Amino acid sequence: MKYIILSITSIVLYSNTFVVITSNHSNIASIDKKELQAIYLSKKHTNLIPINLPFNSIQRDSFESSILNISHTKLNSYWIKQHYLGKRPPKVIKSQKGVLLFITKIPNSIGYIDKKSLIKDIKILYEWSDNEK
Amino acid sequence: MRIVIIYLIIFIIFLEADEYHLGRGLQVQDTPIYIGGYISFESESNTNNKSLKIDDIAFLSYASYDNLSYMIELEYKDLYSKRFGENSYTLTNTKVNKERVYIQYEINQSNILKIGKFNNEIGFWNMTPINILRATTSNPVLVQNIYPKFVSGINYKLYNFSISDMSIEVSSQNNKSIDEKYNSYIFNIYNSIGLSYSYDKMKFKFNSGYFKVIDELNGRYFNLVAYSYENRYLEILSELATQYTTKEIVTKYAYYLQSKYSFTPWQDIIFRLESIDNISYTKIQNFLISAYTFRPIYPIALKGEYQIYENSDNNKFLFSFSMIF
Repeated sequence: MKYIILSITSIVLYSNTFVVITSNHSNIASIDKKELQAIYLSKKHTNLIPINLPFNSIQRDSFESSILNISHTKLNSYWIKQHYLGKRPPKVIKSQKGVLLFITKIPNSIGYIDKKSLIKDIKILYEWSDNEK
Repeated sequence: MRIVIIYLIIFIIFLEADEYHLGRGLQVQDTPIYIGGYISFESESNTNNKSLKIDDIAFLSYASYDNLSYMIELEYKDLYSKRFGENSYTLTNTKVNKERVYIQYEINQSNILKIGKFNNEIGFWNMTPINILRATTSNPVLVQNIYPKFVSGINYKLYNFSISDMSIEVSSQNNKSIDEKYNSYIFNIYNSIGLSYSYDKMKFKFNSGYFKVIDELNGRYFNLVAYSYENRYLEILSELATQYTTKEIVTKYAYYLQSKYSFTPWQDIIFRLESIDNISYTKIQNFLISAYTFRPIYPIALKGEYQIYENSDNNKFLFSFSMIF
């Protein structure tokens, strides 16, 4: 029993929490996982501009596995097929600071960062933890 | 040869460009325009003959600005073919084919309109039919026999994301086809309707259509159902179709059932069972395809394939190299 409690405590303590964010000036109030998949996989036309972090970042790893539910290899092959169909992957911004700066300047953009990196003037649209699917 | 050299030069320019990822195209400076292409070399051997060919050399360009986008794809098909053994020959074909030329307007999140020449959105295989993107070097016979591969007309698609990923689409053509010989049928009238539905890892598709082949008295009707399932390692793909006129059944049925198992991220083994009962054959044709694909990286594929027929004289081995950039 002691080990189970210890394991649960360590998962809770060490799991990262991430947030999908947009500017406070944006009209969107919230977004669900299915819509995030459609936007980030370019499956539907939208006025929102999705922003990715670099592919080796822990935030993107978690976003791809927990939100998009797709492995990096599959995602790579998916975007090569989309290139043939004339669709492009989301733009990549190199750091969380860059994502925050972009989002504050462009009201229609959305991105994801660690919850602990949040600043004011930013709205949370969706929140997830590392250990949830 | 000159065309191949030009292509190699373009490819080297691509590799030298900043921010370029193989298989993702190249942005033209800061414009919304992207360019790319793909190539495919094939060789085939059976008991009597051996052949090799430069199957595809294609160039594509596309851009999207607000709700409007375009796609242009030009292709050399069978640029060079050489056959050894009995009836040997060497052929070159330098005609540039217009494979896809269309503009697309996204009316809103749910409605999309496409005008021009585009891949006929029937079933799953014909959506991404090029060698590098398909599982095997060969195409199922169903893809060549049941419906035209390209339509030169309009396509309207209605999405409903609230009911899983469901879409309804209608295609129509009432004119001469663009580059009409570069298609599986030469026709001037075409109408079809399709329904797609996704649930979890499964996708279903139903298509029904009519087309009028030039110089044929009766138009042809077709119906097709398709199913796909995909998880991390396994992909199942299956299509079943029929084609008929008001006078006769042309293809009573044609189907394929394909399984692809990715035992590493860069290696797949594929088995495909095919059958067709067509008016032009004296008996039902059944055959099995077993294939192996090695992708050192996804945009490059080396594929080997062995086709087994009931008449073993028709058995053959196919090998291909393909790449998208």
